[in-house]
Amino acid sequence: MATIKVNLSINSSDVLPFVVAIDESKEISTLSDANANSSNMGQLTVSTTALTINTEIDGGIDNRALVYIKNTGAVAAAGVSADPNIIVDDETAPIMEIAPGEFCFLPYNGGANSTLTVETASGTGYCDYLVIELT
Amino acid sequence: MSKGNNTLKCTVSFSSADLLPANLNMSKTMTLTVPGTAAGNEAQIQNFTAPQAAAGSGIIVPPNTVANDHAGRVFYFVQNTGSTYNLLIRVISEHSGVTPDQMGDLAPGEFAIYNFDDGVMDSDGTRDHLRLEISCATAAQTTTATVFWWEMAA
Repeated sequence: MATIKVNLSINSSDVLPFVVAIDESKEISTLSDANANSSNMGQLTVSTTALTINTEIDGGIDNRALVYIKNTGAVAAAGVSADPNIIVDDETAPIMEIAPGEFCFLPYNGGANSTLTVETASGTGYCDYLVIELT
Repeated sequence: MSKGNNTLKCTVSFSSADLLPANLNMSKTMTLTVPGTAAGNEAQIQNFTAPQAAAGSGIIVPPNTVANDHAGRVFYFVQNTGSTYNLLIRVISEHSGVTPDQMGDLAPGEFAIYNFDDGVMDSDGTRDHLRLEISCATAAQTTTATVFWWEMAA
């Protein structure tokens, strides 16, 4: 069993009519069994060919997994085009799209032995990722 | 006429002494410009009581009308604020008639940030509608949730 502490804060003074200040923490433990047997962390160069991000998790994500993906590609600037968005797919369909500089964080549970992949619609993208099998 | 751009800052931090061979300490921040265009000018934060439900019949956010569906990109913050049962998260990429795609379940106290885009996720390849469905994962029970979404334009 391993334990990971996650903190998430969201702040904005103008998205809603009042100031938004969300600050949440959660300590999450992985189970001590064969279904929570791996974590996977790395960086990828992404193309239009889907790449699996849970390659080190034997047999796919058994049940639940913590997933973090950040698009580390270049953000558009004066005279510079943005790198492409990263499209995240489960085994049936695209489930998210992450623009350069953005990240997602979620406890994923798409069903038994599932796989998550990343790709671009066109061009070369870049991402960091963390997959922690919980159960 | 559109309103001006807004700003939202989001930071996620991870720490663990025993997950990896080395200590894990990581903090990442994204600062988002929430555009004031016609498709990017809405945001809502709400608390819900989520019933146990079959796919497609849980609480739909935003409400089940085409006019209130998301057109383009949208961020969702979701937290299971209950204390006992998991919260199921599904995405519906059409106004009706499409089986929701399960994103995951949040244990009590857990939270998530989702980046959705109906142009990518729409099953028939057209950019039209996107909604989130939340429900309790345990039969005949309920749990509670906070949902905060903000649109990022098409």
